Amino acid sequence: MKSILKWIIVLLVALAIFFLFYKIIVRINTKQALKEAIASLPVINFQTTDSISYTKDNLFPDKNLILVWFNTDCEHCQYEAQEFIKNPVSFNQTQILMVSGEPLSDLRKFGKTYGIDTLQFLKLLHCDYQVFFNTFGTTSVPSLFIYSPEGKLLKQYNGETKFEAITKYLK
Amino acid sequence: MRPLLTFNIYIWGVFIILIYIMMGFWKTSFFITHDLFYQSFSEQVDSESIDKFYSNYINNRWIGIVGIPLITILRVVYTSIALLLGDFFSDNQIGFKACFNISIKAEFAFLLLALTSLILIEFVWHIKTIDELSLVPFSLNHYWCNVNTPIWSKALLSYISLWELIYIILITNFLGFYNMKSWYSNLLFTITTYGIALLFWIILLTYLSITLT
Repeated sequence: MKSILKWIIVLLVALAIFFLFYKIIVRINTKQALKEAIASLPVINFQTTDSISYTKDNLFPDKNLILVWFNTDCEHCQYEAQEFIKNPVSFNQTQILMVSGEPLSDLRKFGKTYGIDTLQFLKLLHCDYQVFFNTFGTTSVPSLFIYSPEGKLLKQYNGETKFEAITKYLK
Repeated sequence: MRPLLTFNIYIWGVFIILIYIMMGFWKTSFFITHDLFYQSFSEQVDSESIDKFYSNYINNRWIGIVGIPLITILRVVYTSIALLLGDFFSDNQIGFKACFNISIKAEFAFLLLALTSLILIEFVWHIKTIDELSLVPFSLNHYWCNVNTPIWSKALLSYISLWELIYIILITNFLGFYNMKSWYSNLLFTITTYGIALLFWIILLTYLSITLT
């Protein structure tokens, strides 16, 4: 009886270890694949606050791109929005896409509150959480992706990021 | 070794927890300063936000201090259960009380780690970031870690250390006082019980780290 119980416990522990190990390997491979995928700007299909589709074709080919994944309630995201609004001249040659998984009505309200809806260089867009995670590998807010005009990833930041840390990557 | 093993278990338990709490308090009060916060985060975050983070940290650091005895007890109980499972299936039959005594006395290894870490931080290392404060000296993380090391691997690299080796040796030696078996037999027992429990713990931490980051 003891012997059977011993082998059951050994088997359970071994199974648990192998299962976790397998999940780790899968996760590492997924992260690596995502890292390679976002090294160049991937295919995007967002929605504007007017429910119009927004894709790579809408981007200006000669401008840097800052893609910000955010949440309207997040204090650090609000900080990022304010950094962009306070320094319009510095971001004049940049296009900024602030993307969220929240409903369009929340994004419209956020845009009005922070005066973003009047800015030329900044767009508020919607993207489904799962789609964004599958494309960019993150849902933590705010997450910033800075791309060159050629679509090469220059820097990725997770969390609140100050103005100087962003602009040093912009030409 | 025998004096340590026969030392009053309660006095020893309180002693090591008090030492850990003192070390924790010393580290958080004298090493985790506003300047260190600034050095750790200034590349990405502005000074106002750093001030806020630091203020939050000061207000909540008591949580870390209070957690120290809980973490210590959990670790001792986890090791005791691992040893007990092995004891149950082997012919040792030393019982939970002995397993617990061995686990808590073997904490001496981590007491040495805490003291060594404090001495190195105070007199040898030049700590520039908060991450560096959590480096385990004489571990693979200490020697191999650089900016390219994935965050998820730090748990694994931290646990492969001189201190775990000392812990395993202490457990092995203490077992010998209870079961009178050869050192190698007890070493094999320790590796197949505590070793497997440690492996499971490291893999679990790595999985959580890689999933949550």
